[in-house]
Amino acid sequence: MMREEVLQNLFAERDAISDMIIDIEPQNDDQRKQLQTLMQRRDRITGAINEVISAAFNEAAAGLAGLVSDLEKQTGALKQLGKTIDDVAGWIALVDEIIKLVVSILTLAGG
Amino acid sequence: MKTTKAVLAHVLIFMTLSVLAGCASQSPYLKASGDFATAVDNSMSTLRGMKDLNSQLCQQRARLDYLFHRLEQRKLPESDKPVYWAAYATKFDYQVPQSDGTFKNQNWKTHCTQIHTADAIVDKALVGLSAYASALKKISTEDFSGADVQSLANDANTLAGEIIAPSRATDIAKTLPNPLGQLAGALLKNYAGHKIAEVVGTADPDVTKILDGVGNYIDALLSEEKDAAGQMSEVLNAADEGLPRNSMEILQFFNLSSRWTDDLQAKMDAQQTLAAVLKKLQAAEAALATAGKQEKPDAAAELKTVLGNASVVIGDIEALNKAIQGKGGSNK
Repeated sequence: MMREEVLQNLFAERDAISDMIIDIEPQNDDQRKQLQTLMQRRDRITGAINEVISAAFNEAAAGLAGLVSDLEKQTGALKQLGKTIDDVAGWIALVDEIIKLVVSILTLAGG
Repeated sequence: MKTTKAVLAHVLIFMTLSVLAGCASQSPYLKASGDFATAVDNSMSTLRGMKDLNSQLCQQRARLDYLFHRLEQRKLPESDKPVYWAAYATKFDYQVPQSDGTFKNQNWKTHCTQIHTADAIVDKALVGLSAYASALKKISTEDFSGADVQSLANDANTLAGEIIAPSRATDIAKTLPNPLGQLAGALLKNYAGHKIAEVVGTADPDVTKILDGVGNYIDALLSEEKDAAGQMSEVLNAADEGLPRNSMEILQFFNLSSRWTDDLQAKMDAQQTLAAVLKKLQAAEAALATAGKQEKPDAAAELKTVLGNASVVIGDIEALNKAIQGKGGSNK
């Protein structure tokens, strides 16, 4: 089930982001603002999860399997990122890419 | 002598009628229909006992979302004011990605209110299926007006008109009023004849649609519960990270986290059982309808499927009810 696979990836991604938020301790306001941006990205993953649960989903859409496979690779890449405050910008950039990919999946499966 | 003959004749007639009645009650098709009806009725009662499942889950997810943000607030700039408990459902927006690259703000209250309406429609469908099951049970003994099912269909149609926000659960709920109305019509038309195979045959397409709809609804709920489980785990990790080294507080945290996790797991187990139960009812319904179309329904091989599935469903629902009662035993 493609929908289930997409959801499993999004759950894993949000877990990883949450762990990152829990683990790092910002030392100054710049770092706090960066963390704030990462928390906003976490909320976008929550929004994406709600959308995938709610949307009509054509499991047989052409090209869907390829996009889901890309999503799985990005989940793996997210887990490989460094886990210090200096790595937060990299996390934000990768989550933005993941969100774009999920929008493509929803457009394809929902269209 | 005449009196003795008359008495004997009455006894003979009585015995013949008793044997016929016995045969009727032993009819394999009638027995399968009765067992199926019992399985449907028990399942729908259990499902109805869990009504508002989806909207409760929505509220639980909103609260967990609040808790995670609140626990991590200390790490954010002081200028970033928290959204407090009382305002969280209406003032906190989570962001939904759009196809044009923008994000639409949605608050939890709007989301959960729409879902609550969907729960109400699914509840009507469950009552409709219960009415169908009661009708099957009553068919050989009394008339059934079908009026209750008709009124349920009308209520469900009114509720469907109130759903605005698109969601899988609400879409599924919106498909239910139409089959409910058709089911009411089928029952009204066929009850007069008291021919159970005809009633099952006529109602089958609509009963199948309703069972499919309820099954899909339960599947959608399971996805949301998995999401809630993930959120809960994140909340507990966040709380654990800030926990002081005080033994009593650690024990309290352990107690609370064990309870929360066990409660959610019990709900997920119950819904997985219900999802499996619905699949068995779908198979039993199809087999009963197929058997009813055959020249000799009583000899149909499909009846074994009906009886087997009905028996498993009745057992599963009984076990599930015991598990639910056991869970809430302290409240009795």
